[in-house]
Amino acid sequence: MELENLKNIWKQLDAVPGAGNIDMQVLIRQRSKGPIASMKRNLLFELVLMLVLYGLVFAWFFVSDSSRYREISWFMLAIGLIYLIYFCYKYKLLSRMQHSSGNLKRNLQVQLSSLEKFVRFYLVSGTLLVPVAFLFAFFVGRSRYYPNNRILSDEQPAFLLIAALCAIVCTIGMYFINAWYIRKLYGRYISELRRILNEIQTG
Amino acid sequence: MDSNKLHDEFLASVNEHLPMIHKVCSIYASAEFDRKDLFQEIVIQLWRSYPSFRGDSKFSTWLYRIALNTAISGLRKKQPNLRSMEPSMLPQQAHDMPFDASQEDKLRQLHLAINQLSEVERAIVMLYLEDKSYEEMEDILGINQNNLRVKMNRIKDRLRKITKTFEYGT
Repeated sequence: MELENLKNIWKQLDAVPGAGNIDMQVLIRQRSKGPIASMKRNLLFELVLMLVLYGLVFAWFFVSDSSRYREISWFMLAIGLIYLIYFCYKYKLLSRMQHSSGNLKRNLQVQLSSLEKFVRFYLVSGTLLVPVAFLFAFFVGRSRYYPNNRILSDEQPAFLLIAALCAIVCTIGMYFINAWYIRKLYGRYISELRRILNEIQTG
Repeated sequence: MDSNKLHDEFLASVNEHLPMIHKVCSIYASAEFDRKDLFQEIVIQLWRSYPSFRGDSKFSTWLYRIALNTAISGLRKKQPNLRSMEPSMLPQQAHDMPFDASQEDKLRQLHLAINQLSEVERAIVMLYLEDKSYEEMEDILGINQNNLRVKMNRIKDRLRKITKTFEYGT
């Protein structure tokens, strides 16, 4: 097959008007079904869910009569603010991946580096959630059962040691679970992008 | 710019270049349903990017960039390697052309052969068939012209071998 000879047939496809009835006005109002758009929608859903549920728990602690619980609510507020930073950073990375008007090679490079950053950030933040959760449980437990700070007395060091060990084991376990889950979600996409980019970059 | 004016301008420009979008869809999606999906996705991405189009490149160059970026990096389902092509798998324009058995046969062989190529090779072949200069192809794909020439020669060899396999079954 000589491509030169096929150019004429290929060009004839341009002369045929339209292709079925396409209502472009309706089409441009549709939701994108692409993977990045889906990830963005999932992230927004996660934000709404967090604001509602976390907000309720925060409010419960904040309006409590106990001063200890109110202290915990400030801790929760700090965590909440960190979560908002986490959300903004992830959203920014996804938005960067959606720009597609550059040349193919540049677009793939940006997509790949943004996705790798996204995945690393997801892994680290998902893993750090465990010690934060243990810390939160520690504060709540202390306020509830040891209102006079007796948790730090001579009788309780074994409990603290066990709690710390559990936190470490759970954190390490969560790291591997997250890594496996992230590979399941994004592993194929990242491999494909690398493969295509490698093909473009090699001679 | 007034959003209605932008909207009308966009639709007018894209309607003029619809055959190009359909060709991209036919290269990267074999099933009708997948082609419609890809077409919709490309149009949505074009509309999303249109406000930032400054006219510093040709509209067709800009459109090709977005269409190919969407088709190649959009994580489409792996298309099966086709050994035969039903007429319904040819681009819609082919059905609307006056019937010519030998032309339809050549077009079918071309699509079957292109289906065996990688995503990047398909893009290069398509731009070559569109008579784009190597300079324009570099602008669209980001591959330098020397590399493009080398890749194009390899692609031509591959296509010859593939079509021989179709003809002689080896």
